[in-house]
Amino acid sequence: MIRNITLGQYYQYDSVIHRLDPRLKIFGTFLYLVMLFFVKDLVGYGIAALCLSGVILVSRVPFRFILRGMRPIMFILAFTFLLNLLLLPGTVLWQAGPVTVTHEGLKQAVFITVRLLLLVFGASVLTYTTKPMSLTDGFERILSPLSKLGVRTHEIAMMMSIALRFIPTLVGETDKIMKAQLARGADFESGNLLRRARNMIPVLVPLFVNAFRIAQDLAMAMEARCYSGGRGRTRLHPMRYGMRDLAALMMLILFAVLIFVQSRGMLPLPMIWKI
Amino acid sequence: MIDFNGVSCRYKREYAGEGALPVTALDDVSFHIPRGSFIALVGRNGSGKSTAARCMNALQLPSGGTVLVDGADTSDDEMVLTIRQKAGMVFQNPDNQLVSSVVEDDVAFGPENLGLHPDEIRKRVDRAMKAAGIYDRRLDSPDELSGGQKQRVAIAGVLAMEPECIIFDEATAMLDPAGRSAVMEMIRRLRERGTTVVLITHFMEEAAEADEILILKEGKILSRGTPAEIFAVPDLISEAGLDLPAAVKIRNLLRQRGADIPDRVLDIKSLAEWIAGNCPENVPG
Repeated sequence: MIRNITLGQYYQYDSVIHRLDPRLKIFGTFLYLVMLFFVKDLVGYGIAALCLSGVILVSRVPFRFILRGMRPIMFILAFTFLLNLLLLPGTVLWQAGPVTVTHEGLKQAVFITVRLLLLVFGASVLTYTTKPMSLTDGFERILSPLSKLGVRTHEIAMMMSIALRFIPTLVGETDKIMKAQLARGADFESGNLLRRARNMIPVLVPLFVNAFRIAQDLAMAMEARCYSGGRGRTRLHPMRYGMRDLAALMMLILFAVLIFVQSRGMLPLPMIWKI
Repeated sequence: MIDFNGVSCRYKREYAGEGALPVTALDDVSFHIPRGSFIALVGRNGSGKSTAARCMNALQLPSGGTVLVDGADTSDDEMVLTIRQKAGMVFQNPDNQLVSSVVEDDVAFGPENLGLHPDEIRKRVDRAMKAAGIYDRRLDSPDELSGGQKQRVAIAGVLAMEPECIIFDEATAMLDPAGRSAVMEMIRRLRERGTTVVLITHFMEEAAEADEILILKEGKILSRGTPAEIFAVPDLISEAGLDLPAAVKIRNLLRQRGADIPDRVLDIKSLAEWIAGNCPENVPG
């Protein structure tokens, strides 16, 4: 029934981008996202799109996978585009009855859409090229200075990775319970939304009970294998920055500088549709 | 290797409400498991065998008496990690004891907790995965494996801690016959390496392979002896709420008809050999 949902969207390949340190990739994605908000004209977006395309090419993740990231935000994209297009006041470009499109509106609509797309594509490169487990590990290490302030970074990362590990298990469990309840005459398909939600209760209650039982079992198994929190723990794959990461960092800084300089109009490039 | 000295475990049952009498899971139990031996702990549900297993790993502390693992008291907080490293444990449900989404990371979990150097972890993880026969699945997710393979990942995870003793807490109960025989094969190999094995099981066929069988009933030791001794006593197994292995049942039926089969005949193979050896006229070629 719901067995075949794929979670996480990691694309298995052994590219340079895949092999970069997850901490660097997280930092890089963050920097890229921040820099997008500095962009003030279409050429700036062009630079960002070019750089991103370069990264995608090197990562060998097929473009259609990246484009897939658009699907869930299609509605928001169309919505913001139309709102900006139709509601912003300014120089009228085109009018039909009560519908007016202004120059400013068109500009703003294109800008917002391009920015949203670049944001989503950029973030999806991170998730396509980094295993969920490496991501949580990376976050743990990036946030580890906070543990001195009493934030339990190791525990948070451990919870995230266990949650990822158990998603398929719980999906299987849900499937089993739904089938058991269907066999007893449960109906998940008819009725209005409220009714359907109510009909899910006989699935959710046993699912929660099972989840707690699994948690108890797992806690015991972890204890039996000498788990006692993050202190004194070593890792099979310790994270080490290499030359590759240094090179990537330089490229990131270059990218940030390019975007910044263009936003100030200091590059020998035209500013198109400056905002 | 493991000593139980007058161990009692009492606990209040969950949801039992106020004034409910505590359940006695173990009642003044004493026994010794020698190093390098293979002991089967059997008994029906609620006989206290899982409680006994948890006591061996300091997952549960006895309310009376002491449990010593390699001379260390499980109630000594300082020794808990050493005890858990020495006496590894494999649980019943293969799904609920794997921590990581990648096989080799899961096997590394124990050594990582021990704080070993990454190179040493790598060595141990590879060795353990090879010993458990899952090396070629090391980069897969446990979700893609069968129950028997998952259980072998769990065993590899314990092996990577290089324990001296492994406790199997009904580790074959949820497996199909193929998975079960794979786990039993693992146990046989562990035994050859000199690892102490404690096997908690419902399956008498599995218990019959042990050096000794320890039968628990209502928290007390009902009997202890070699499989030949235990299965030779009529009604002992049924008193414990258990069932004789099929080979022993057939043997006993043949005995009732006058066949003089010795006590050491406990499994299908030795039974077949006995029949072939004693009634050659009925066995073709």
